[in-house]
Amino acid sequence: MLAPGELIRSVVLPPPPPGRQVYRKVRDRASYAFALVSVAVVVACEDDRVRVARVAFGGISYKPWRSTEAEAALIGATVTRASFDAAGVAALKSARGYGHNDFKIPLARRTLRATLADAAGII
Amino acid sequence: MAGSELAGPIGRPLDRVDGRLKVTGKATFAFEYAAQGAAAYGVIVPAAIGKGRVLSVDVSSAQSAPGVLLVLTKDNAPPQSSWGPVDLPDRFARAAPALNTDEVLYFGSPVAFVVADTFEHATAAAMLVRVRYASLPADYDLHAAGPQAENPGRMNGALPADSAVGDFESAFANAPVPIDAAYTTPYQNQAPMEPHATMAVWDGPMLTVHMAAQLTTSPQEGLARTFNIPKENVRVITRYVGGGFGNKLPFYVDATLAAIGARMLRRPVKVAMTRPQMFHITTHRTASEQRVRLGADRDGRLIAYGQDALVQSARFDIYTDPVCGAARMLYAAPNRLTRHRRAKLDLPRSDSMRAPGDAIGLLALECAMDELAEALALDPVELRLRNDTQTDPEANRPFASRHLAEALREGAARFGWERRVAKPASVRDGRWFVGLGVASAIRGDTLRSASARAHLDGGRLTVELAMTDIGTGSYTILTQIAAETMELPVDRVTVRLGDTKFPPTAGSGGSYGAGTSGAAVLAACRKLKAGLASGMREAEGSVTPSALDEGYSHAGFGAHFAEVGVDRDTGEVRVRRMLGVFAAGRILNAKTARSQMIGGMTWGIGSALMEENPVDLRYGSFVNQDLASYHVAVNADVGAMDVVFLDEADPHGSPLGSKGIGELGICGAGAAVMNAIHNATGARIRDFPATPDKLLARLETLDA
Repeated sequence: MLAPGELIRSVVLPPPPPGRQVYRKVRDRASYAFALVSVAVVVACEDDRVRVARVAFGGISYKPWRSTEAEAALIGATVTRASFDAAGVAALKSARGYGHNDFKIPLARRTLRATLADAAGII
Repeated sequence: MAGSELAGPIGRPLDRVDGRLKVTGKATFAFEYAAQGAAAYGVIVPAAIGKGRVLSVDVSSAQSAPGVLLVLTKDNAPPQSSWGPVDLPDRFARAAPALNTDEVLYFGSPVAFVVADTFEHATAAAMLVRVRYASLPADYDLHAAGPQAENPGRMNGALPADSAVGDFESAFANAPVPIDAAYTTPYQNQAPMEPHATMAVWDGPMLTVHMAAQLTTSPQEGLARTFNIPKENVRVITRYVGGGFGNKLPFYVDATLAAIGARMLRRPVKVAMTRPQMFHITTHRTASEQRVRLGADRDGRLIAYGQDALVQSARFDIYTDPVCGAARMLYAAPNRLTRHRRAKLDLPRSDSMRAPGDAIGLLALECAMDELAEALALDPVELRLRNDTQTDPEANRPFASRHLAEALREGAARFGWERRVAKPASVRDGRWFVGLGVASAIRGDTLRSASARAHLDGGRLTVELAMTDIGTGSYTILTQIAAETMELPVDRVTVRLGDTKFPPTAGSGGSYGAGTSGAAVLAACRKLKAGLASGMREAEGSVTPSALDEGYSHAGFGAHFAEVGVDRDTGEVRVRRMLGVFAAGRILNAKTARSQMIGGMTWGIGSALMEENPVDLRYGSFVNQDLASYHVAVNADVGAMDVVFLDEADPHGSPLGSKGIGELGICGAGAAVMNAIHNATGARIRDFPATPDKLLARLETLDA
């Protein structure tokens, strides 16, 4: 809590884990639009296995949503689109849609898959 | 035109003669006029319900707020004519009263009006007006109203709502290859860059309004009708206009309220709508539900050809978007049926938006043609060629000139259409599925009445007419026409527009502006030139619709080609390339004409991919009320665009040999994009626009 007269001058972030950082924002038009879904990942791979993974989603909840479920599913997983897809399934296992935004669940899974593939350097 | 004039200015890519004024901020738009005496600023207070009554308006806080000069409500508004008459032949000259009733007919309609010494004071005070309402049950849902929709008889005083040739139903039932597909298109808003704005000044009985308008004489008549004063007492000035797209054909309550405020305060009053207000107080493009039924023989010749459309009108209006108008002229078929049905809803008014009717009718029809081509295993270009016709199939008269086939062939050759793989989802480029699509373009061509005055003084020619330039290039092409006709350099010609003091014209709308006002300038200059030897220094010329030979049907044609990439994971669509080939008569300015086409094609991208305004069915309001949430295509959405004009001479066309081009570019463009999405992925999206959510199901199957 800020006391009266105080203001935030800086925020110190811990050093990021090693790995490639990729952010992907999916929009209804190419620029100047809110995210339908966004995904931020940090991924490090070694010997065709994921060694480090950080995953966060935007546009699917009231706040940026870190997915430890996806991270857990990724550690040690093979560097394939199939295992990246499985990480998305784990991340969204308890996600619930409300009709008009049901599409965000498959879109989030697919966007995570694409973003991880991009970070890992596979197509 | 005579061969000796071929080297003249007409057709050249002359830079806009008003370009420097605009980019240096010296072109004065309606809201920017300095007044005779300090202007006061008016702000509209919009209704917060969709249908009902205003029970009371508490203005006490607003009235005592700093700088406030006037707070107007139904309780103290002066008498005005009531709205309409609704069926006036010139619907843009109808009376548009404000605050004359306690009825709320649509969300956002004005319930109060605050005038203060500054815009900021007026805005702050407007927020202090307290309104109590009684809501009434309302109909906001087009789909739900469909079963009760009415047959409008004639649409907007012109085309019949229904047309039938032969026996469609039995021909369709027996067609070897039938397509029966339902499409929807959403509400769209014109969203011109310049908001609707008026500055009004009274001088005794004379009212002068500087306003953002496409027309001049219609708002002049309409304001006179509203205030029950002679038309001659109203002067409309609209020198520069920041976009119209049909949205500035009507005049609105900004003009009415500015005039009332100026009269009551005895000083000039300026009113500009806010961007959110524009989404409700002005007109929009109707949403539509369409059904297209096509029946072909195995060679791809259409036997049965039908299109039905359901559109929205405001409950207090009768506008009917002529959705199936293009279909009536586009392809040959012995058995034909088109029908329009109109649902009156408690929403703001629908009216013309760039290529009214045709723009959304062709989205459905040209996608259905793609579906038919697929069912026939026939190339979509070839299907269109097989159903081309030189005779207007419903009016039973020849087209004055029609080069649809040439546009399709030329476009196919230039675009590399032969590289298209007919089987969908066959082409990949990295993460993208890539596809090609095609669609025909057609837009009927008309002339209206206009007159112009040309005056020669010391080697300088001045041309005056009550035409508008809404960003299209009217100043420039009229300069070229006058210069060529008088054999003067273009820098010796001054064109003055946008003032009802000048000879009347039909203004800018329906793609007739350049041809109509240009023909009037041509006539005036020819007359003046012929009279020079006998000392004539000034002449007036005019044109009427009869200058188009009625023995022929008149339309511009074209073909759109699009290449899209669809992201295989997210369903994001990017238009990589687009080509439009057009046969649109004589091109008056290669540069401004190309800009018109690129603008229309870009709007086609928007219609296919992102543009829509849903109705909040609880309140009767449009959900998107700003340009952050109302999506039009941004630069990054527009890939490589190319425009080609075919040489086309039209011996039966307008005096200039030109055709309307302002709307042809959007006609069919969005369908070409949608058909390319199908070729890329196999997805048939029949509910426009193709946002990523609608592609996911198809992409999931392509994963496997």
